[in-house]
Amino acid sequence: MSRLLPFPIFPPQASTLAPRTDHLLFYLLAMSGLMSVLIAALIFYFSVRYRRRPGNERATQVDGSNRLEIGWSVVPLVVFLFTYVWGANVFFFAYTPPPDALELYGVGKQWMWKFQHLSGQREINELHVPVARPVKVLLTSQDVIHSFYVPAFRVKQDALPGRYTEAWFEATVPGTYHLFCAEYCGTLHSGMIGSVVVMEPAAFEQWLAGGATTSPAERGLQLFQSLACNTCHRADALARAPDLAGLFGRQVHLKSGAVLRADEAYLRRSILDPATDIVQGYEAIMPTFKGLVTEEGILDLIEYIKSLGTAAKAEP
Amino acid sequence: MSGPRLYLLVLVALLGLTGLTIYVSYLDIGPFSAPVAFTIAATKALLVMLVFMHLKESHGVLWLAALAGFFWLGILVVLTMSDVATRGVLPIPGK
Amino acid sequence: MTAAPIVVAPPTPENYLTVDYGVRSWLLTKDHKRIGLLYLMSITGAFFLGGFFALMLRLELLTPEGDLLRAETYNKFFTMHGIVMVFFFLIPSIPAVLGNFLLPLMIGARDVAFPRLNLASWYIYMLGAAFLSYTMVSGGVDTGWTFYTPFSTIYSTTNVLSAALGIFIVGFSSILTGLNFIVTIHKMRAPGLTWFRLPLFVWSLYATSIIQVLATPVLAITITLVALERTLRIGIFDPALGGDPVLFQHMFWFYSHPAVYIMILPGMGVVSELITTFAHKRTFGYTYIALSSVAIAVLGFLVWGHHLFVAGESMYASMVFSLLSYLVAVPSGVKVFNWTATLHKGSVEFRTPMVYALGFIGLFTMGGLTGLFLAALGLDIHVHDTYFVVAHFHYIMVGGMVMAYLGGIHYWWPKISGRMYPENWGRVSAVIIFLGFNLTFFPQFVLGYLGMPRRYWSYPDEFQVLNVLSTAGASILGAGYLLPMSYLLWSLRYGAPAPANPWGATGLEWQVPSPPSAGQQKLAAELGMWIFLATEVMFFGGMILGYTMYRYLYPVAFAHGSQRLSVVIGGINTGVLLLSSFTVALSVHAARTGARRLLLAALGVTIVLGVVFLGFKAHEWRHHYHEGLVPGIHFTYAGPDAAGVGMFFWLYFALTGVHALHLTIGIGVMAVIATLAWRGRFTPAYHNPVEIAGLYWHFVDVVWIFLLPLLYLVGRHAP
Repeated sequence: MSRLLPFPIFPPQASTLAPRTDHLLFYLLAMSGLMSVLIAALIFYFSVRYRRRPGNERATQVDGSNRLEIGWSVVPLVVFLFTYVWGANVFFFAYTPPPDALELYGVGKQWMWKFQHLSGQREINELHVPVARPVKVLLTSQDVIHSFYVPAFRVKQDALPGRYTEAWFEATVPGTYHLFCAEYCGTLHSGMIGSVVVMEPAAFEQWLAGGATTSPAERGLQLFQSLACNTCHRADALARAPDLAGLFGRQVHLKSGAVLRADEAYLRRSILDPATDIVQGYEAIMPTFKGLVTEEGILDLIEYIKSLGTAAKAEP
Repeated sequence: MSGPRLYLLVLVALLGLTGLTIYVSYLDIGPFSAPVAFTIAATKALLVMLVFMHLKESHGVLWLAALAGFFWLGILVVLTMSDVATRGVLPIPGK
Repeated sequence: MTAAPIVVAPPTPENYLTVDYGVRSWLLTKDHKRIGLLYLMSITGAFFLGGFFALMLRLELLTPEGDLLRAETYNKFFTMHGIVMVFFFLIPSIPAVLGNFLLPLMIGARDVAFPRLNLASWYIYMLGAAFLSYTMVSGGVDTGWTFYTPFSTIYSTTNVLSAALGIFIVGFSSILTGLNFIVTIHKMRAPGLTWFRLPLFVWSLYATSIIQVLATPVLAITITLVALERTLRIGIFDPALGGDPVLFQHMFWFYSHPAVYIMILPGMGVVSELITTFAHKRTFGYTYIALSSVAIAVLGFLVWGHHLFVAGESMYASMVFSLLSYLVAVPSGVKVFNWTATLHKGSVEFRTPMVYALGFIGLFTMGGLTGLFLAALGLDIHVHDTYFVVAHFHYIMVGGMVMAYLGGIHYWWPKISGRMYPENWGRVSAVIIFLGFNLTFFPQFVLGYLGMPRRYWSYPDEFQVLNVLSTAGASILGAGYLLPMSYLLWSLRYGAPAPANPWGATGLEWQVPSPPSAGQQKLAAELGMWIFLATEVMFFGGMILGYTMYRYLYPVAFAHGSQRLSVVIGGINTGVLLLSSFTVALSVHAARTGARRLLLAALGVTIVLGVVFLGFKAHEWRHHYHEGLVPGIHFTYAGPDAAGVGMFFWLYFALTGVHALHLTIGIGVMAVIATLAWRGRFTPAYHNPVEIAGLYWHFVDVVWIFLLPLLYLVGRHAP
């Protein structure tokens, strides 16, 4: 239909999520269109048929009908519940990345998007991804709330300061698509836009190899050493803090008796507020690194810890 | 019983419950300490409202108004905590 | 047409408009009808101011580049558009203008329950408006009407404080109007006018008032916390200090989603009246429409989380909020179906108000149905924060509420002004507004699905055509709004005199002359006080929520923080307050039995106990200061869990500070009561003020009963 008009009225469909979202839209359009037409037709018909005119100066008084009331409460309710289930189904798909997804990091700041590929490529306001491969972006923000939005993929997720969120998508059509910030973030909110470039796998590998610098895991290791984390976090007898190998994704037993999963949020908290979750068998001796390490530095450290093996890989 | 004698009795009960809640707070009763403290506080509040604020002798709409605030406070806290307390249940950051 | 203007003498020699003419008689009026008109003038000003901002936004969006306004200015304009339209026009519109004017007439009362309070509400509104005006002339504010943290608390460099103060103040105007209406409907109905004989407009006002009273205080405390956080650079929303900006969104939408129903419910009430009048037929399913208003008011409180589906809310909570959102759609649907059925076998007359009412049904239906799109979790991901949302809520608030408001204004204009407006102009304007509205906002649905985010000052080229259409529609809509403004003013002087009941309507308000005579007052203070206390619970509730959330997240730090407080002082102060409640109960008893000396003695002791409590509290605070435990001012706690302890003490000071403020007010009130008692004003027959003041005092005591375990007794058993 877009072809008939000189301007677009429907966004490109370029991810595995997009058709699911659009089918839900078409269903909702049909359902609500039917309801609107029904109501509009009835109002129009009644208004004309029962308009005030000679011969119809007195209305026929009717007070109501319980059967009708129950009918037009229950029938819509059933339709709504059906819609709810469908919507929840798409939502669940939209936020559950496949385990083999390509990982990368995204940091929002006033007013740009910074992306970090695991192989070392860094980008600003541009994101290169391969076609037909799930990609998940771990998002955070350096200042205010931003929102990672790619209309062609029907993907949106807020990037929050102090927390990690995740968006994933699998692009289906190579091309260049809009990347927007959807959460109002200050003066140049509308300038916080960029593009997602979807490439054929071979072209992507080539792009990835060109201009690659130090990988985040390598930078994380450098940071780990320069901040002297390794004086305590070590595997030998001198260790005064937990060894980090194979930590990511594992269950951690805390001094307080609680059990946590070592995810990104836990690692971040342990770097910035080490006293919050003290691991069983250790003392609260670690100083906070708040102010000493940037958001991107924290992501590098997390990536370094992940590179030491994750629970899934460590366990035979 | 009503009037000043009842008020005095309620005052004694309130002071007693205050002592009790302070005492209990020093006992290690694990996860029960917060619910117990809250139950005692609610009992005290109920006594004040029923007797001192004459809710006992009122009916209908005053009860509604008195309960509405607490009921809606419950909605605010319970539904917000339904978000906070279920974060991290799924292994998806931010969900 | 050059016919000389016909000046007709006022229809009745003495009515509420002619009973007195001076400016003083308006500014000091306690007549609900005149107060309604004061609001009418104020909110009309707000509407055109907000409309001016809207027009500037639409003009800027005519081209993809940001060229007409600077980005800063654009952001300030959409912020002002939102604040002015939501808080200063939509929320007061139907309740404060038509509700004030009509509620007492419809239920056969002489006035609302608290006429002085009613006038005070208007002054509070104007005070809020003054702060907002100050914000505008002092450089504006650029946070959006949603004030999301941490942008509003840390990063915005504009005048957030005065805007926040303006909204805080105008919120109290809304609370007091709601409180007044609830008490009026409960206590002032004419004999025999039972609940299920009330006009549907009254039911909708009742439902609206419930929301105003219970939701607005949460906004007040939220905005206060934002202001404090901004001033002191510390607080519960700042992620750098372990806070969660999503908590702000929960608190904000706990108010702001029900606020949508504050805006639309009265509109639904008006439309119910218009349809029954112009179909000349009793409302189909009266009971269901009445109860659906209450159902919407209650269910409307359970759905706010659907604003947070992509904001970092948990999957589980999103599923719950989505499900609840679908439930609230059912009673809205019930209303639409019943209105439609009312037309069946009616005798439908297309006068101007009816044209507006039918327009309302059409636009509200579209707004409501697109709400189903947004409540669908999977679809919301894509359309959240795009123009789809903008279009959706404008269909509800402008297409719905403003149409209903204008329909209501036309319908009751003869009653309000005593004049008829020109019927044909009325119908033409209604049609122009309907068309202009659709041209403005329908393209925005398409734009939104296409992916254009809201609050964009510039945009990619491919969105331009739809934006041009929208701007074209906006200019038609703007002209459409100027028409009724013009001919209604014209009719004040040249309109034909209105008969008492020009429409053949059946409501009680049409049984009195147009315009009605002046009125009097009466009291129902006890219920008013209880409702006020429910409001207070919600005001403290925002802080309790913050407390609950952070205690859950930082249990150890909260225990450490609590251990720094003195249980001895906390315990003694609890005893002091409980004792004061006893003396207050005694004083009420003394007032009832006419024991003047006991009354004076009990009040005296109460005041002394209150002062003793504050003395201990001040001592405690001074001690915390010396220990460096005052976040934002003097905080030197250096333990490893400093962030959580800081959070605890921030909430401690917020809760005890607000409590102490309440107690101080209580002492002042008790001092006034004691003075009146000294002068022998109270008798066993008249001692209502003692009872009311007593209720307030006991409430302050009840709050402290909860603060003791929440603040002093956490983690005491720990080594």
